[in-house]
Amino acid sequence: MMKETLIDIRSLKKYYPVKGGIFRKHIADVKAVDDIDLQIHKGECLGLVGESGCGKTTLGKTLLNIHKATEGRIYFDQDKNEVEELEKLIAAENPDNLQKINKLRTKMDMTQYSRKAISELRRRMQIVFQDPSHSLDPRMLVKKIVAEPLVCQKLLGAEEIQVRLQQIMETVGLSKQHYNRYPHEFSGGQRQRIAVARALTTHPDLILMDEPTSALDVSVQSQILNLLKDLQKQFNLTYIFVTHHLLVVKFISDRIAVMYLGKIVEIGKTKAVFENAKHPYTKALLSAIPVPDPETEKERIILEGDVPNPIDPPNGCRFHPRCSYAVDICKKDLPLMENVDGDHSVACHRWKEIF
Amino acid sequence: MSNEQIDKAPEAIEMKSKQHPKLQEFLFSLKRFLKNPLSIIGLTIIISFALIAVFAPIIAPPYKTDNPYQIPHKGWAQEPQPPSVENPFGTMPEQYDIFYGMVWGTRNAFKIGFSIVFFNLIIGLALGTIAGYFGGIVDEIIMRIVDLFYALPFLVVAMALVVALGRGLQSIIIVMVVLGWRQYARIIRSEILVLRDKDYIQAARASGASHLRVIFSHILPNSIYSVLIVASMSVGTAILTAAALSFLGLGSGVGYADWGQIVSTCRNYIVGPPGNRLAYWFLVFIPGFVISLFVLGWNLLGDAVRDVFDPKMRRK
Repeated sequence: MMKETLIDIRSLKKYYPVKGGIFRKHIADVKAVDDIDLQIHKGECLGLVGESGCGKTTLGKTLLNIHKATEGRIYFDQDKNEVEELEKLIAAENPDNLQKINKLRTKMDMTQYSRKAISELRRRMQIVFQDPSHSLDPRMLVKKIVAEPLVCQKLLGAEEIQVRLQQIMETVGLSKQHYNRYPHEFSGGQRQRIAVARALTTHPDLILMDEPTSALDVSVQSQILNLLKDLQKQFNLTYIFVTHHLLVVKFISDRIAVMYLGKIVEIGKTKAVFENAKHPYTKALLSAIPVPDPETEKERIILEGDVPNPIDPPNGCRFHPRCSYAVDICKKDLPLMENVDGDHSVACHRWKEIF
Repeated sequence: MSNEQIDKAPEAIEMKSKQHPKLQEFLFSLKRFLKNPLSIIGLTIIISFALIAVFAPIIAPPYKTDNPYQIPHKGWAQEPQPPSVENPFGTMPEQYDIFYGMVWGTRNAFKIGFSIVFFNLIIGLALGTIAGYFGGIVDEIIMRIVDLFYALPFLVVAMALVVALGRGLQSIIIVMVVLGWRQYARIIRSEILVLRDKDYIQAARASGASHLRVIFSHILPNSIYSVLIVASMSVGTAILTAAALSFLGLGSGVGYADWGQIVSTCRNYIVGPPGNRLAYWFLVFIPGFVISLFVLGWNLLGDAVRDVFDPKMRRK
């Protein structure tokens, strides 16, 4: 059965210019997100994992149009066939079609939307940030913070906003006496509940979770994760769950995408990736998960060196300087995504031989 | 879903939350303010001056009701007279009454201080906010204009402008607004540069808040306090500078009730005749003391405002 696609990303790039010299000339780009294709299905939770600086947060924020994409297409809830047709047109690179492509893109591609169309889309996509002590305005009352998306969107009248506010606050486990307080009067877990409540008020389809538990105590993390899981069921939400915590991802995600240096190297069902990882980088990541049993002898794969500079990524496979399986082809050619089985894909030249 | 902290909310918090939180914050600020003896001294000084300014017509009834700022004088004798029953603070050259000048000058002092700081705030806040928030080329243009204004030599421009606009207090105010807004623009811009990339600003933008809304409901409430602190401290400085400009002869003419002008009128009599160098002490001492007291009051008040508003000092 094919699931419905909510977001379809095609060769998305996000480069940050590096300027230098007296005249602040453009000399290079930081390739934070480099040519990524990704489909996110309705109602699923996609875990984005990877080292710090690999571009996972940038990918998420570019999806929500918080950062403007440099290149590529993002289709949010568009008809699958129409998207395929347009992609074919773009792939054909026929200059006669340029006008038609541009016309279609302004209609379907989020990166080409007008400001007005984007602000309407904002209702359908929300974000929960990593650290709630930074993501809540310290000089605003909780009720104002939570109601802000509604007020900005001008969807509801004042009374309806109050009703919605009460519903949402109850859902996340906050009561009436918390309305008239400032964020600093709450504990970390409660603050994250407020941030979640704010993301929920407009009844969005998609919520970007930008490491929502990494700033919390371990005991509170599980509370919040359970809450997020319940909410997903209750409101039929789609999550993009950005994190570097693999066990959190294992718990909450249906699918996992592993990123390395602006590229997705492996993607698949959570179970498939955890039990049958094909990419050497994924293997190394998974081997770093601590096992709560001192008797177990684990094979630890320790990666040598650091993540290369994204301004000047290595040729060929991005991972080859740190990969113990690298051969000549890895230094020359960029590996393409190859299907392992079903949903599981991997970008490695040698995945068939090595594992 | 377990939620223990919330269920355990103690009754004390419930009692407290009956007051509106804005009021609660205000009462907290007030309590902090009143705890500090220096802030009370500052407040007392400023309130006394305010009372003098308000009741000036009763304390020193004007003889010319159409122009009360004109100090009355008896005769044209040059020699200043020491304090007496008729002239409690003595007289200036041409027998202008110092007491009358000081009382009505209080009104002018408030006018000068407030209007300079007010206009500086408006211009500086508007330009600094735009520069800091939008960044890029807008920031570059506005901040280079600010640099340009920083490059102007104060006294030279002040004199040139006064010559162009004509002598008088209003010219002094204009000069100090033209040359004063720049520091507010820099302060608010630097505050906003810190705030601009904060998560809650991004969250507001992601919720679909417009630029105006982000500026007025998130950026300014979080950044304006440092500017307000500087503003409250610079009321005193503004009066001091205005007095200095008046002393240099850029203010209104002789006989106008303005503290700086009074000192200016008396400048030839600062040192007494040979044998009695301190004969005219009251000419320097009284206006000088009053100006110092006024500025001191504002500085103490500014310090208190900082203690109350600065989020870093606030909850200590």
